[in-house]
Amino acid sequence: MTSNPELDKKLRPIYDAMEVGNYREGIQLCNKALKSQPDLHIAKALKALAFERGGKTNEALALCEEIQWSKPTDEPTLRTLSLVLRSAGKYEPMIKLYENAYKAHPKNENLANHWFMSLARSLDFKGQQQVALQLHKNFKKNSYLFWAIMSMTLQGQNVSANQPNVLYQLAERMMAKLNNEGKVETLEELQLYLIILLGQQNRHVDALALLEGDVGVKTKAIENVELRHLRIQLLIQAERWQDARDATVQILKEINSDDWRTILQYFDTIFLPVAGADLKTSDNLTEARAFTSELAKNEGKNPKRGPFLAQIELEKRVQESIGDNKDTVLALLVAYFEKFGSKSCCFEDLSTYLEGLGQESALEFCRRLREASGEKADTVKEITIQINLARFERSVGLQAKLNPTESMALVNKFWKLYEDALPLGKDLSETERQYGDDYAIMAAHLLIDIHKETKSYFPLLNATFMLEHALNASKHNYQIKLVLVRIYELLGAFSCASGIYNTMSIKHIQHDTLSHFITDRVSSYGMFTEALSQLYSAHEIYHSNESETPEMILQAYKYSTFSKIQEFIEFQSRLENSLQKMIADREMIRLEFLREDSVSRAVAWLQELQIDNLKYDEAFCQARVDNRDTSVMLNWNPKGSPSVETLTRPSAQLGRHWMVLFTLVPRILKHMAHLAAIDDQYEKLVAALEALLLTATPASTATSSDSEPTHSEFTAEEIKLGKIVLKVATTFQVLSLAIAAQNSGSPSKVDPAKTAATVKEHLTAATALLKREPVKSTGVLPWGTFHALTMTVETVAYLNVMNQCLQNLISTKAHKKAAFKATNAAIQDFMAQCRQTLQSVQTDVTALRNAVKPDRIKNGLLYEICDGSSVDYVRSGTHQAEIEEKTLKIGASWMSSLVYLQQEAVARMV
Amino acid sequence: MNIREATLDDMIPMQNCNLHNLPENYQMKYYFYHSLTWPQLSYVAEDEKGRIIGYVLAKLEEDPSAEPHGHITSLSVMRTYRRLGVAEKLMTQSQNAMRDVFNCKYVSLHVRKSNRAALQLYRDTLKFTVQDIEKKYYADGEDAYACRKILKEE
Repeated sequence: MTSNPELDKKLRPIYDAMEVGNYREGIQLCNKALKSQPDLHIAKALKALAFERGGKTNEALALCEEIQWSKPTDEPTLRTLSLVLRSAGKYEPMIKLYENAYKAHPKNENLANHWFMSLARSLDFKGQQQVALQLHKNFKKNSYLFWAIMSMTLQGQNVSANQPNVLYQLAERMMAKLNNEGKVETLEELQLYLIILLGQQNRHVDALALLEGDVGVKTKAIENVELRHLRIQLLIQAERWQDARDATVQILKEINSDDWRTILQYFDTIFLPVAGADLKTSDNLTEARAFTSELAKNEGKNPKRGPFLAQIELEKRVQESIGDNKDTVLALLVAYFEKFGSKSCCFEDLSTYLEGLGQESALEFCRRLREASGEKADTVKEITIQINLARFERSVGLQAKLNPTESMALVNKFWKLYEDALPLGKDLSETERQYGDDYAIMAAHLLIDIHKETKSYFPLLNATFMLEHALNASKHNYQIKLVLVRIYELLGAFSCASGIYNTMSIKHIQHDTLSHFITDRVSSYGMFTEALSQLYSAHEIYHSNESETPEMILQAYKYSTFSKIQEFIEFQSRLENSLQKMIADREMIRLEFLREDSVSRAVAWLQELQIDNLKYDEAFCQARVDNRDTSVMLNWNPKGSPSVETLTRPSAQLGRHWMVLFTLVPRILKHMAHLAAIDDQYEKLVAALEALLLTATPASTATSSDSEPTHSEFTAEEIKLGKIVLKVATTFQVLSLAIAAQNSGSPSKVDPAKTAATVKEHLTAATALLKREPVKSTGVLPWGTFHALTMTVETVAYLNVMNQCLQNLISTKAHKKAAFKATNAAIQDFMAQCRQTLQSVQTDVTALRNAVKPDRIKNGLLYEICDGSSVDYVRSGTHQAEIEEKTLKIGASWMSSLVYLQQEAVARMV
Repeated sequence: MNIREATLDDMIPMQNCNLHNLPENYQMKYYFYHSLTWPQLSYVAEDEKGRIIGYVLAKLEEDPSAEPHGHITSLSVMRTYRRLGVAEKLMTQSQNAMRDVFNCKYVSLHVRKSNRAALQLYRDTLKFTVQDIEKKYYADGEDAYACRKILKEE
């Protein structure tokens, strides 16, 4: 509010209307106020805010610009404008506005602060530095000097390491001066000083002196975990071995024997000084062995894992540098399992060490554990031991050796163990997991193995039944959910996959890291609206990053939390430049295009399409950051063989090449939609598409593995799509140039018959590519079936637009249309081919729809699932109703996809 | 296992750590706010491979009418790492900073009434006492136990 009661009275109703979200009324009230007082900035600003909140961003921004010209200086108006501009993602204008306001009121510290903050929001470090210094000059607070120093540091961090860093030097000088005057007083100020020192080469001795000096004492730096750790790191760098070792020993003995960072630092003080020397005879090794075993001995009834892991780590390092130590490591691993085998982290603790020992010792390890533990699984502890053991056995490859029959027997064994564990968990609260859940998951992993080997989809269907059943008793087990999502996707059942995904309450940053599980090639299932809504809800995170993270950076200045400012800036850029963001963006463009089901609307949509963000150059691609999490899914597969996450991908992982393909296609189409003349840019687009396809090889969907080159990001259908678009894009080029030459009557003009022949040649090639194999129902409609069908519909949707553009080129650009009659005929032929292709899709979909009707599913697929099944879960007889329900649900999901697909196909038969 | 101050880069693994916990739907901005304002109060635990296995988010209650005290906003330990004292270590680290750096007299937190496991942890292992029941504390209408632990005797 303002400080003017009369004005307040006038504005009150406006604020009230806005508060309850009545923006229309807000606008009316603003108009009324402006009628009597046209230069009332605050009313204009509030009107802009009402526009913005009501979703009319363009009107809001226009109004803001109008106010900007009149250079308002009152805080309420500025604050309101700032709200509007910020939610529109426009930060620059506020800088000038606050600068003007402050210059008009040079005594107003608040305005000066806003000026600084507006620069900080735009990451204008240099501007910040100048304003901070001005603030210090005028208002004499030390905190402003720290702001200035921080701003210099941020500018300095981009200077390459081997160049003299003037900004860091300057920042350091200011810092040293403040320190000499005793004005470095808080931990955060000390941290800033350390950032500056450690940002320069070879300054660890100075940083150490600072930490150990007066400021360090004054700020109790050594009580802070991070600075304590840093100090030891610096001691090691300074080769003050004994000091470093003493510090680590003290922490491990007196504070926390489980502190792994410190254990590793301790080993640094042991191994680094004698690097190159003979370790066997080294006193250091003797000392370390004595120390770690002393630590281990000190552990009592509830031992911490650290000391025992430290012993393993030590002997592993000995094995690595002198060899001949495998038996010692193996014995330690077995002993560790005896102690911690009933903790579920035991597998994670030991797996890397086991890998390092080689196959023979790993098998020996499992043999010994099995000998010691048997098969007893009566208590929670014993179950955990058995599960850990099974994990190890899978990870050393024992399960990979099984044939499908043996694997199935193990599936049944695990399922029994899962069921046997249920009574122990009957009192667990709803939020907990059952003790045997990992058995159910491992059974699913085995079924995935069988599917991969036999290519049959029945193991996957069985896996969904068992996992869904297990989910009833563990409602929040996300590991069950993740693998279910993937299996449903492999089975082509998108509604089932998204149903499960939606229960995971994915939020915030997970939308960036985990949404790929549901959004990758989500258009393939034909359900465009549902696909878009998944993409839109995941995209929220990027909007909130844009609007919220800058505010957090400001908070950090306000609270002088200097150690966090760089972190925030990096975090912001990590999200801003997310690869997933761009992949999702391209998928949204495909779907938004497909939403326009008439050619004229699609053309109009393309004409409106903004290309500012449709970048594809090498620098842009390389600057994308991959935040996707592919390690979250449980995986006990042997090292070197594909993970469960990789095995359950319905298609190759998306990456930069894929992003480029779906950037080039809409951009080429947009150019054509404008009937624009052939220019440099168009030629570049076409050349880029050609180059991209030249290096692309289709990834075989069944055997995609980690080791495949990134060039196989495409499915065979995507490559086809690219090639077809390339053919027609070239046709457009040929035709456009021919028309231009014809029109100008230039001597270089092409013989119309030749043009027609070239056009025909390209379009015939496209027709050949468009040919599709009819789809036959095989009981299950896997992902690939839907992908192939949808890609055909999408390809024809592009072709409809492109063909229209080719025709329009002749009808609107050619002076002598008759000259292009033959060309036109070739285009007409091609259009007929497109129509025919869709007709064949339509025929297939109709047949498939018949095959997935509920009664057909019941008498067909369901019968096949149950008849003579070797899966105990299915045979038991007690789960029949559940199995029927789930099978029908999968059938219903296929049916929805088919119904939508059919609509999309029919709508495009032009 | 390591206990270290939380950084912004931990956001991503922290959220995954939260996947399996019934999250109290705390907002991303909460985390920002905490880590910014009192970086010494929020910690993560990581395993030997550097993966986040748990975290504690805490803040300082700055209500001028009450004594200065700390408040635990969120505590989470991955299931695989339960019963290893991870929660206890995280809490101790945060509580020490509350006491030593911010001079807090006590620390408070809320537990869902239905969450017996958590109540047991706070009461039996971490020595909190139930102070009060706050009716309909959670968005879904569930009551909360308001718990408290004295950090400094007068």
